[in-house]
Amino acid sequence: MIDEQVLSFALHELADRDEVGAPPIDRLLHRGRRSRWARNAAGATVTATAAIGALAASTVLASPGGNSHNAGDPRSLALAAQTTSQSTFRFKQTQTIQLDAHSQFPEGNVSVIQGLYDPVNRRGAFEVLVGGARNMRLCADPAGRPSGGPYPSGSAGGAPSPSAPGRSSGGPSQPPPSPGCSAAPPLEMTRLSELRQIGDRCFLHPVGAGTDGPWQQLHGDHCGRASAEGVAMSTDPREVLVSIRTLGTATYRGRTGTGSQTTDTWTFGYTTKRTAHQVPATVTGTVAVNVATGLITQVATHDVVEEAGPTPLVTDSETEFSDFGTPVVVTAPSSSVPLPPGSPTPTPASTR
Amino acid sequence: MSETPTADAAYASFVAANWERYLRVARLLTGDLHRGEELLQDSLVKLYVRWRRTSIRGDPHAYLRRTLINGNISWWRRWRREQLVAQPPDHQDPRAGAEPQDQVQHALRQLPPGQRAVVVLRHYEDLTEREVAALLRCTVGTVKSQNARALAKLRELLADYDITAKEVTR
Repeated sequence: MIDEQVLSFALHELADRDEVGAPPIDRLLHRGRRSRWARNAAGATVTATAAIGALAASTVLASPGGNSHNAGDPRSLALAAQTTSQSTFRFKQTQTIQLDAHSQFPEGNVSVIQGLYDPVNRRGAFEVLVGGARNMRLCADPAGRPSGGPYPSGSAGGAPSPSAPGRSSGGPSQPPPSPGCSAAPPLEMTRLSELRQIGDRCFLHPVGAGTDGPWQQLHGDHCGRASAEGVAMSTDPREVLVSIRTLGTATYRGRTGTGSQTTDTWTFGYTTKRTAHQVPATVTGTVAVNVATGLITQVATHDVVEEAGPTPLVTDSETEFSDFGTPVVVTAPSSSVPLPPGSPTPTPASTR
Repeated sequence: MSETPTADAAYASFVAANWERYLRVARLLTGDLHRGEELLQDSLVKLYVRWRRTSIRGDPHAYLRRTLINGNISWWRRWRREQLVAQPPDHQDPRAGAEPQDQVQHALRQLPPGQRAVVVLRHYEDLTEREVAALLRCTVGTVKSQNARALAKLRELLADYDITAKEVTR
């Protein structure tokens, strides 16, 4: 028979029986900095995705057709961005972070944000998933212990995972395979959190807290931050258009497809400014505009942060827009709790 | 944001002071020292990312505990199928002539991770029911019921638990 006092004793006996080594502080600092850079890069990707506005500003003048559209002229990106921001849509954004050897991303290096959004009425429902392990390898760690567990050590390169969602992203030249490394098995995409936005009100459900865990109420600035960090491009693109219109230039690459699938493609590139909290990122990408509807259907970006550590941090992002005009009906959760005082602002991406 | 040397030093000091304590907590949560160390490292990396906000406006201990628990639950969800289909040689039923600690470890592993978290926080970390509820973001009633279920299960599994060789001093 075991009572609470005996249980407490037994737990201490069990916990104390193993020798504990010194904390790997240098390794933790390295991984922590790396993780912060990854988050910044993801933020830069958000900016990049929305950079269609910037291209738009510079391509209105460059566009052969200007604002008067003829059948053979490319669509203005500014007009396409504005038209897209006035319609409801379904979107799916897939981000892949390329990892150097021994950088551990326990939840995989692929994250997906998907959902429905009504930018006019600011209503949306989104979910965040992580997993994938795309282009990752399992390697022995520097201490020599084989990483046979479920946590992969990643390195840039390796065969793309056939089961990973989305398309394999392009990237810089791949390094030769390291000895002792093998292709990482694909990680199942796991749902991390769910976010609902109704105007200024947001409700966040971190799935990691348990399926029956409470929804958290977010208001005011918290709502905006959670929405902006979580849903990226789906926040009003028009605001982004104004804020970053000076960043880059775009080049019209031509028209492909036939009939209703005819698409105009643009490429762009720019470097973000250094700030107190973010190092510069070089961003290149493409934007696809459906000629028949004048709506943006796809934005792909490739971000490189050179100052991310010993090796550059490379992030690829692909955002697809579809189901334009779909009614977006979002209801508040039946029960929710306010954010505890003093809590850090949770975001869909930070609930990992 | 741990950008400055001062912030890094404060973080390193926190890790150095609390590494052993939370490694033992993680070991109990996961049932395995190596897996516990992986979980703790992952949680400490997340703490680093939020160090400035957490250390100034929040409680890094509470944040770390939450991250450990959530990380363990996420890991368990992802890998439980692999865990359930096989009984590795080093995970044999310890009730046949093993150490008492092995019996406790085996019994802990039989608990769902949520109940295991309540048991560890209540009976190893000595947190109050209210503190555990705040940490798990649930009601005190939920903590009570989870604790009661966990204890009932442990009593069943540890019916033969022998503590006669050691005196309970706590």
